[in-house]
Amino acid sequence: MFNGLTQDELAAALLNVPAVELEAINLLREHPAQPGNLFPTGIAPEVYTNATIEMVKYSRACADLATRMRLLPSQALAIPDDDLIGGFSL
Amino acid sequence: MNILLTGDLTTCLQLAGIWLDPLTMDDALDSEEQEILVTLREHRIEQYASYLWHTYEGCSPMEVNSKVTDELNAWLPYEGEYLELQQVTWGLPITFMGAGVHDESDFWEASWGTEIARLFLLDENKRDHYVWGAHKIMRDVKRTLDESDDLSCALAWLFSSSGNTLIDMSYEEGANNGLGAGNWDGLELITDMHHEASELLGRAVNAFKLLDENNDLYGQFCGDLIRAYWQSIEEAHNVCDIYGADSAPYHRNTIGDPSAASAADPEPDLYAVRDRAA
Repeated sequence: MFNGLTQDELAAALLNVPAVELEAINLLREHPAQPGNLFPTGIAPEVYTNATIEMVKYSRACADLATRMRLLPSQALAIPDDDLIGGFSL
Repeated sequence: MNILLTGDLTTCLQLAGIWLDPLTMDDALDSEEQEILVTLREHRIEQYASYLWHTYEGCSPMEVNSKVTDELNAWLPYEGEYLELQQVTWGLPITFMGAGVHDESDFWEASWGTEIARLFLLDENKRDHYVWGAHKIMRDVKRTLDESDDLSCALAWLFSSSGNTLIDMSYEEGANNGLGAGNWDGLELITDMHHEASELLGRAVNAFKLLDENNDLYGQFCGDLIRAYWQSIEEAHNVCDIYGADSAPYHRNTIGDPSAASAADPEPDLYAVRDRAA
């Protein structure tokens, strides 16, 4: 049963999320930027297409997640009185 | 530089986004190119990738335009064509097939076109034809024809009554109704419509060839038209009787259109047509 999450626990959980394996990042690492050519060239069109489709899906997923988080209802925080400035409480 | 790009995951991810999905950097594109890319990204992601790939491979904007346009045309499952890439932002290239009596088209150049038009008192020199009255006559004539007869298709095409939007509308009518700008629900729908319209138009052309070659059939066809015409006159007079003797004098400017009181009565012209049909 989920009994809540502290800020530190949330930060630790996010830091433990493994990095997404994207073909685009592999391509960038395999074909490092050269002077006058920031992006890799000479890649087969089908490889490029697959990497692009994956990248676009990833971009959309990130945008969707950001939208969902913005739409989350706000939650009241249970903050101890001692932590409030001047001991003011509602 | 290389160490930075390959070692820093965040930087590498940002670079990948700029490289393969540049719409994340809106300000980097001018509006027209951005509009094209947005459309390709939403509807044809393979061509979106192709557009970027050709660009990074050093193709000129004109070459990129041509190559991606060719790919889009090859993908279309029906007879249609993007002439330039910019058209992709307007939606699917729709082929309207409405009869050309409203346009400067091949209609008047075909012998059957002028003959059929003359039956309906359409004037080659007067382009703003008003034919809804003829539509009713056509419907009556269709009743006498076999439903599967190609002549039904010919009449449906001539008088925009097939129920298929591509057949019933010309380019001009489609544009005026906003149908050329991506207002279709989906490719599946438009593909089915296009196949049906192609079949109807093919049968209509067959019918006109048949009329050209078969004088007996042509005479019967004209006779049916004339009978339907006289029937429409009787019905129109009955309508006048219902509305009383104070109704406006009965005139028409096209067949079956009793409302145009200022038009000349064309009935004498029809006598000649009727005699010829007989």
